[in-house]
Amino acid sequence: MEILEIRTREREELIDVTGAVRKAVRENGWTDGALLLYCPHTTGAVTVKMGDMQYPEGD
Amino acid sequence: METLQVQTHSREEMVDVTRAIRHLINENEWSDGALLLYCPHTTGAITVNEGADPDVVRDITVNMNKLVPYRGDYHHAEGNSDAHIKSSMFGCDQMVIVEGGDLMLGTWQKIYFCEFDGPRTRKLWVRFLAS
Repeated sequence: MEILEIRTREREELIDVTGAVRKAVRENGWTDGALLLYCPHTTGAVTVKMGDMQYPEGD
Repeated sequence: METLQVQTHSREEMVDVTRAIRHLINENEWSDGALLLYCPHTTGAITVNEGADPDVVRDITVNMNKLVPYRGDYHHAEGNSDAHIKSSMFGCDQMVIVEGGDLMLGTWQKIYFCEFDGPRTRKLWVRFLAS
């Protein structure tokens, strides 16, 4: 299990962790499988949403 | 796959199943991987949230009833559409990490079976996925 530390700066905030997750994948040499991303806090969550205002492949 | 039986006592209720799940991990000697927790009911759900203060569970239940009222613009003849909607909002599954035989939950987290159309006898399916 790997642990990412995330610093938030406001009461409500969505923080893009994609880069950090990709880095963990690379550093661990993970190639095929799935990642379970788990938030151990009762007032936070993990979600996947559109993150780039350029629409290279449509939305 | 293991099956937990969960007895609910109210129409809406969040039942803490954390201890029963830890017990399954110990009994089966599951050590490193993940648990897939699956609710096979369409008016129930699984969620993870605070267990230290029971008012949190109370606030979730009471305010879900404001978001999705018992009586409303529903067509479903059973009269429990609110429960079906809540089930889809919460989701019928959760995955949690097992590391070195320990269930990895945050300090304040507990795993809850959510009842939205009880009281009933419910099932919770548990599958260990080894790393």
